[in-house]
Amino acid sequence: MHSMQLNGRLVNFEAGQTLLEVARANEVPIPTLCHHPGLESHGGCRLCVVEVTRAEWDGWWRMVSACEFPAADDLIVATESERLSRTRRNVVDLLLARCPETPFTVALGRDFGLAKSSLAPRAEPDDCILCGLCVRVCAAVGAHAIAGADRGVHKQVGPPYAPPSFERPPGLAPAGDCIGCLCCAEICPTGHIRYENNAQGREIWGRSFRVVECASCGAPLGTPEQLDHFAARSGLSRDYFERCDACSKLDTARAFDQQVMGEGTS
Amino acid sequence: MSEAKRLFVTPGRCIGCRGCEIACAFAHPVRRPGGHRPSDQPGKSRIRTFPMSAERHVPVVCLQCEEAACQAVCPTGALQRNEASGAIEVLTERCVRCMMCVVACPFGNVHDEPAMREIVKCDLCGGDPACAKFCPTAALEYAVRPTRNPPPKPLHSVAGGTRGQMAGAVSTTGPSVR
Amino acid sequence: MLIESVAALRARQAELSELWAGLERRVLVCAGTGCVAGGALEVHAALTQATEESALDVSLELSSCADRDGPGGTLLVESGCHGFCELGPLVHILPDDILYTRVRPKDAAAIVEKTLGAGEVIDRLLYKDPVSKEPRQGHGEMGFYAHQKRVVLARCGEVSPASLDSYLATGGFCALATALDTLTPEEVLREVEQSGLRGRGGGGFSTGRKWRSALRAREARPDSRLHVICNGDEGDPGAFMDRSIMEGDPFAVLEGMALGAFALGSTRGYIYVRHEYPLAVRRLERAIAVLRDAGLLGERILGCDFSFDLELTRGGGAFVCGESSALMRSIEGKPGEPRAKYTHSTDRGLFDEPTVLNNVETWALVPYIVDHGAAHFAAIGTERSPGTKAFSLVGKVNNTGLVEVPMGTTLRRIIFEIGGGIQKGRAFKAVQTGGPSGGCLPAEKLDLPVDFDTLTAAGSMMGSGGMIVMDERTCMVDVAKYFIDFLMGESCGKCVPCREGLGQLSSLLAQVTRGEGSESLLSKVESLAETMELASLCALGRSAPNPVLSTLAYFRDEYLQHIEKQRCPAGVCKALVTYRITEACTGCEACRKACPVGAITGEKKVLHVIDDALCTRCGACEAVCAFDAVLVE
Repeated sequence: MHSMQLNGRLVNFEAGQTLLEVARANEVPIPTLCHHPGLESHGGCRLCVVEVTRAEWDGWWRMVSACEFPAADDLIVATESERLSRTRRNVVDLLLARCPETPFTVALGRDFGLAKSSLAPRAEPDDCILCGLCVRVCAAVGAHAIAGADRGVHKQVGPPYAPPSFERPPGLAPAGDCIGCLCCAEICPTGHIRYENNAQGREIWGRSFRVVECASCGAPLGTPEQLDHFAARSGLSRDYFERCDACSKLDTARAFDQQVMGEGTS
Repeated sequence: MSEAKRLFVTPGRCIGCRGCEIACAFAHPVRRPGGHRPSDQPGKSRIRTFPMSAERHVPVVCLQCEEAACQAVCPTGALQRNEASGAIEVLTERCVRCMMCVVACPFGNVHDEPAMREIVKCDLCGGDPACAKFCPTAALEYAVRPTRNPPPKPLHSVAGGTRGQMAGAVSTTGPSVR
Repeated sequence: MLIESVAALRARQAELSELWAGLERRVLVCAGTGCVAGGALEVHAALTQATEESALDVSLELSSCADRDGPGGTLLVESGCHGFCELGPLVHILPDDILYTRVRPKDAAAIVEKTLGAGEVIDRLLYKDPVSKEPRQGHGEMGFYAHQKRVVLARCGEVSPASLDSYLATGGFCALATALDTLTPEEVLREVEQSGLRGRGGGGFSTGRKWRSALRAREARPDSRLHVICNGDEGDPGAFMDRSIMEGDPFAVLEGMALGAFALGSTRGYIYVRHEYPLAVRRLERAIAVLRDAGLLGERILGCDFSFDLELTRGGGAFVCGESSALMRSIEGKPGEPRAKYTHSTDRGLFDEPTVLNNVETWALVPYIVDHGAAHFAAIGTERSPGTKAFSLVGKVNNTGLVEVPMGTTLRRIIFEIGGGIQKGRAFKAVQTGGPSGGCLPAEKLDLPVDFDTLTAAGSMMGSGGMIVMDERTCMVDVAKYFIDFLMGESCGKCVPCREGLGQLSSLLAQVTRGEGSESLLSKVESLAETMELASLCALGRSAPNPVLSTLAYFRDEYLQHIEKQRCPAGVCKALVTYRITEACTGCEACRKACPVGAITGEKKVLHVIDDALCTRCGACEAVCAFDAVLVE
């Protein structure tokens, strides 16, 4: 069993856990923004910074992002300090200056005692805080359709020039990037990613998609690209992706009933 | 080590009272998006009973397939088996709501819950399924093996050893994915 | 030509060394990027033609000297950078040690006829001392060279970078031969450890320790491969050390990597060179091809049980890709964004496998260490920073160029003895070391010895060796803003403190240069800087506030003058200065003609006047005035 010190308390952890996971398991709150437990850690927002040290470090300490830093034996971790509060507030201040009108950042600012940013607001702000969740969810889905483009203050998220060639599961056709699954828009905390989704179809990242309907009731299921991609990615038969949950459930009941009836008569 | 309990469905005993649906809904109250405080509102029932005729009713609920399509399709590992209860559970914090498990389940046992912005499915109530407790006729039983004897032949006996009893019954589109 | 064994390599080395020693004369035309831009290739062509037309015995390749009866003759080659870029194109003639500067193709005939033919020195092509104005014949008489110690740059400017023969003739591949036939990998690694070599890319991390931990990581994961990477993504403004080494001595870099691979049991290496260095890319690609043909790269090198090959990857122009984790992502084909190094790249680097990444200069030093021994190397420089360091000395010094000195040499010596002091006799104000995220050190720090730890303690850093000298006419706020703006454009944009913080620092500094703000603005700057230093994801962000913090530490008064008195003491910040013409004006009309906005009026031989409302403070009038009559205040 491994153990480390968390805010002066000895806590146990399992190998491979991050400081954030250990803290959450011990109900120690650490603010996060770009973190999502289902996705790869990003370490971009720096809200989850904590201070780590060791007895043998002789007073030396460092500030690290809890979402990435691996828990280790005898580590001494502090999740609260004057310095940490100042740092997190400055980070929120910077985000608030970036997105001064965005409800999400305004609410975040309020949580950190900032009615408005003390810094110069961005000249032409949009709602993107560059948390990278959309890019990571797209990669997790396996579409790799969007990525960060450009650098520094000019950075933005969007579809790249060419389909990326990496991390695509072998055997999968080089999908035309966006599959219209809307995961990026779903995960976006600020609602920056705009899309249309109605009976006629879907529209996102400048692409239009047809929507496949349930073979029985006509309820919308998803785009053909999405269903094909997920079938290929999971190794499931494409037949699995033909019906909505309600119709499948009814089908199951009927099949069940048939079987029971069949057994009853034989 | 004792044998694991399973949820047995015996349609022949079902009287279509739909008590299971109500039990399920109340056992899974709606949580506010983002928060975790349960409200008084009942949630979406994971089990549903279908009338096939005046006498015949079929309850359909997830049978926690051995090799589950929902789990295979999930891009973020948000569907994980709880080894204690045997249920495949949705780890909501890992879920990105791509909806693929909803479409991929050939039995229609994974659902989107728009009110909570969550994906829901039968979690066997963590090992004490409310539906089975409320079922007056033992059409739903959570046990090592079905207990009461009379009515027709219990359906699960056709499937050997897997958790997916119902899957065995509809073997043409069985849940085994590979 | 395939060299089949270590013995064959040694025989070839001996043969070529003899040829080399027998040469009567070597004529080296600098073909570094600076001199090429100045027309060095045309100079080389003209010299070639002139020698062909003469009766002189001149060869263009070392091997062709062997065809003659008896030794001797002259070797005329394009060499790597001589370092003294200020006065290129350069032609250096050895062993006479005659350095001709600013050579033009039309000078070729005279050089061949007089110097090569008759042994005369052409005075008008010699370098003139900036202080005494006396001509200096060669390196030996020039402060710029006399105070240097060239180890890693030893071959730059001495040999043709395209010629494996020249490399072999000057001791090249001796180290690899020794490693292959007499040393074990462990012995090579121990040699590097004991040399005390520290990474020349900026961090100053012990190279030996890095290698050792990668080796351990690989032993712990037997199924993994170990990669060696050369970081040639030098992107600091004003820095060209690594470029010069890659262009001037590419084989040394490759041999160093091969030695590293031998010590670490790696079979695959990568060289990451920025796209903006086309000449370095070309010379390295060529050198790799030559080595493959010679059997010095590839399967079973020199017939031994050691296989190693290299791939060259071109960077796309992102400064941040010089950061090791971003560089590895870039090689993998992903966006060049750093990631937290909580797990070292020696454990999980390229493709998540153990990786050793060193910069160009570090790799190029490895053959020297293996050849001369750890003790020899450790005896150079200081105890904690052994060896030499190459710097690109630029800015307001008289002699700009590529220099190499032992660690521990003082800034004063580098700037005043090698650099020849400040241009136009002005006063020294500050020196910026360590690249854009380094710091500016004032005159009172001039006697600091240059080594990793001293510079860091003084609030700057060694970095990869950029050194920018500033004089009294430099505004430190403007300098800080320049570097912050550079970093703002080059931040990868992944983490909030660096991306947003740099944008905010830039706009705060812009306010200072306009004379706006108050002391509270400075505390805002300091607060943001602290957050960036503490919370940024990678070293780029953590060191990004250095230009502001170091100028605030040493030149705070200059900031206050801007804010409180709306004055830019150096006369740089346009919003705070006015241009005025003094009584010294002779009415020559030069400034009136130079002014792009027509803000200057005045008749011939009458005192000219600048209309302040029209003036854009471009400085054109001041630059053309021969009488120092334009006053900036």
